[in-house]
Amino acid sequence: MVFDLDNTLYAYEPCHRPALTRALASAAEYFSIPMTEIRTLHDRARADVKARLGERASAHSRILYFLTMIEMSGRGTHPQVALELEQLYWAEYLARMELDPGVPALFNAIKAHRIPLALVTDLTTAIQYRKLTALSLHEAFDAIVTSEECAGEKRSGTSYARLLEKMDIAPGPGIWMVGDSGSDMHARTHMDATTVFVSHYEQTTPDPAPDHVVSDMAGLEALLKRILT
Amino acid sequence: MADGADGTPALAGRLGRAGLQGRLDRGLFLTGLALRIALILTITPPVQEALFMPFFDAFLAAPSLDPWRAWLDAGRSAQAFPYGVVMFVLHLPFVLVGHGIDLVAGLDGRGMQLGFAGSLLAMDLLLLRTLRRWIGEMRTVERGFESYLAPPAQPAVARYLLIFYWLSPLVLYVTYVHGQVDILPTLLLTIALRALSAGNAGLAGMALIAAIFAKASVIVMLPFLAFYVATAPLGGRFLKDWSFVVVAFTGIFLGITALAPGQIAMVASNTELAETLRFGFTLPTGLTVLVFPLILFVGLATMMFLAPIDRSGLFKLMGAVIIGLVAVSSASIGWYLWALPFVVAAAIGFSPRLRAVIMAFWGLAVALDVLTRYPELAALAETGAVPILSGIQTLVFGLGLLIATRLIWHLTSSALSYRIVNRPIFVGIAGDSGSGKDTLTLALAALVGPGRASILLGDDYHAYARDAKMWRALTHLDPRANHLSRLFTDIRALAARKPIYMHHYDHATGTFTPPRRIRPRSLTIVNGLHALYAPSARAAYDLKVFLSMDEGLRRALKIRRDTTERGKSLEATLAAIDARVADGEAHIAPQADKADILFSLCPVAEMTPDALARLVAESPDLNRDHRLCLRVTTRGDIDLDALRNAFQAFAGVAVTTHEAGPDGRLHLDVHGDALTPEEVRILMERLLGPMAEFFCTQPEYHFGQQGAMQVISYAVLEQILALDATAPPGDLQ
Repeated sequence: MVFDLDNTLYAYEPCHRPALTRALASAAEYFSIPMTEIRTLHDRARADVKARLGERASAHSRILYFLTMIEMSGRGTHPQVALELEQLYWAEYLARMELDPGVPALFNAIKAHRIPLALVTDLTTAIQYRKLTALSLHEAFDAIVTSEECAGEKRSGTSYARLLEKMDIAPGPGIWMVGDSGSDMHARTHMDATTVFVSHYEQTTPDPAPDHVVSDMAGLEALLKRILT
Repeated sequence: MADGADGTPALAGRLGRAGLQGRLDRGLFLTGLALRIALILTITPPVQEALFMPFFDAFLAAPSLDPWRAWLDAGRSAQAFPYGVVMFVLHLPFVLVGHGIDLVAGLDGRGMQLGFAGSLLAMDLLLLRTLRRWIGEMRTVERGFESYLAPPAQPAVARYLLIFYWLSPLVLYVTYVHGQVDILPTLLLTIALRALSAGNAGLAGMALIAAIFAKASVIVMLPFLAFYVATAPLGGRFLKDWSFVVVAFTGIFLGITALAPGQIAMVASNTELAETLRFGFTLPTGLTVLVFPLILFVGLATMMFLAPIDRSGLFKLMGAVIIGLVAVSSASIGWYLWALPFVVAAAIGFSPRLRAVIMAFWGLAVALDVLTRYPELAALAETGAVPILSGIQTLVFGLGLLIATRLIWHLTSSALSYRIVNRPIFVGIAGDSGSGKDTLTLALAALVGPGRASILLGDDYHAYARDAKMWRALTHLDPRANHLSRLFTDIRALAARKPIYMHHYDHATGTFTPPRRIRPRSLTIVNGLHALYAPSARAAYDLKVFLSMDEGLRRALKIRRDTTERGKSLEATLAAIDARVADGEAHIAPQADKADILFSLCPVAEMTPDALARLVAESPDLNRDHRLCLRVTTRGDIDLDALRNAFQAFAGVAVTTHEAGPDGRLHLDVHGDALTPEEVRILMERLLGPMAEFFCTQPEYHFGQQGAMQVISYAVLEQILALDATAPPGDLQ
């Protein structure tokens, strides 16, 4: 049973939006730049970093977004400020994280059936580990793969290959991938997995289409109970 | 059967966007909302139809700055709208909209009544939202002894409020069947309580005064809240700010009231409070014991007896007082609503059984009001042999007293937050000279706010002034060179809440100042070379801390401090250090074994004495120097996992755990140099439960290793207090 982390086991937006606002407000004050302008700069910087780095973990790096944003503002380079903005962002973000309330019961049910649990996530390792600890999930999984330890992200299949290697298992529909996006649903392409789309936090229907749709973790638990009994 | 891929979009649509939990909550919310709308559409409460609507109608027909006077001058009933300006102004916009609908649709006053009911619904919704936010913020206070690292269970709070408040028969009946307007003062009171919890003195004072000027009888709450603010550990500035706002807004509202004096006549003519005040029981002497003042007096006396109390204790006490008032007096059913925010705040920590008792109490109160309001129903109920009405009244009386008693019992006996706030906390900090005792003392005191910490300095207990000949025979590290028995006597006196008088050792002159008075306060920190030396002193401490330091680092620091701050020569400082080595090993270092926490500032990598001297000389701030880390050792029964995880997750601080040594102690290396005050705040919020009540409303969080020590010290202290199951509930004198 493989899970995605962000926006699957907790809601991303309620953490990200206030965290970004706080960091950008701090930057706006520090550099005396209007908030609307700093938001535009940040969006441009993010697009620039993503375009340059492509599908790899560092393309999600907040510190790179902030550093590029500062540089784009014409204020020179300020690594210390970028570091502070990144710390501010993650402090606010992590403080706001709330685990989907159905996760503890679901994981207990999965473990009761002796089904291994794994996590495959697209981001840098350190911050994903911090999130897991913040959610008290640091001891929940039998295997964890972040895109930072692979050549590419989930969509490219490298993360799934790494997972199979770590778990020492062969591809097949017995592997279930639970996530909120098309890159999670690509698990069917890359390891012939059964895919489950969690619709609670993500409104866009993924492409490719999933095998199952559940509203949240309680819904997934109900689905598993039906299948396993 | 599994849901097939071919059915995905349809299935997604059927499931909707909410999860199972969310759908259940949404269902509960929509049920409550539908009930409210159904009641609004089907019932026109007589009190609104006969009194409130004609009053507003008269105002709209002939607008006046003083609608109360205009109404009374027309010779009409003084009972029509016996409420203050806040009540009138906040209902008016909805009434105006309803009046407009009347004019457009020709509804003949029904639109205006619906508008009025709509304003009650809006206030009801706002109250639900305010309660949810408030209770969500209070989670650290009421979560008991579990690990605080887990994220807040907001969905659980939402479910609790939906059942306990939103679907409560009391709220539905009082507001939508009976048609009372107590929802507004209850809302304002809740805003005041939330602001009080959040340390927002201005809003807390303003909302309370607005509640009083909405419904004058809310004034009975003022002495309780004023006494709490005056005695609780909120910090002196909070009291000043709150008092200023209360006085200022009272003046402003009195000024507004003076412009519309008719409301005074109408409020004064309200017989509800007068009748409630007159209720009592007559003694054989013919004199009457007035129940309402009696309960207020007992409530205030209890509060004074138990003070200082914690925030959740305040809610329990006020909930008990109001429930006591409504249960045993003839107060209006609307008054039951006032207890609601207090009881809701308190009951989240109660067992489901006690919550069910509270719900039953409210349900019976509603049933009693319905039966007594409609004579035909009352007659029906009383037709049998069993006096049903009296039976329900007896149950309401009994359950009210039971709940009030349980609330007070819960306040004093089972809440760690009350025990922490109510009794003085003693912290002993020992360590060799230059190990950072003063810095840690100030860092710990900075969280409780000015005026709430007493600090006893070990140097003040030196037996001799600097020029005394005895120093040729003894060093300061020798216990015989210090009045340690007097230190213990002073700790005992402060623990008994008695002031002490002590000299202060002036390092600049090497002499003692005349005695100064030290008052007992919430936190007493004993900071000295021998703070943990005597078993009697150790027994008095709630937390025992020993500070050590890498020896090379300590020497370098002591040289810097004594030569720059204390005016000693380098040679004298070096000689003093060398002369004290043996005594330090003999008398100071052994105290480490007695401590609950050992803090030791160490170089991250091994450094030569010269490199350490350079580091001390060059580092702009050792507290935030990445070349140093904080080694933390705690006694064996302290759980450091939550601490380690919180530092790693919420602050990104590197923490290395070491295996427990043969002594059963655990070790952590905390690289807290980059810690910011904001991260310290978040760590405190995550790690502390009841202990958070001990802090003032504006605690001063520190940077770097000092911030880490603030977090660790108070987190360990809370664990020790929680573990100390046999600790007495506090000195209640």
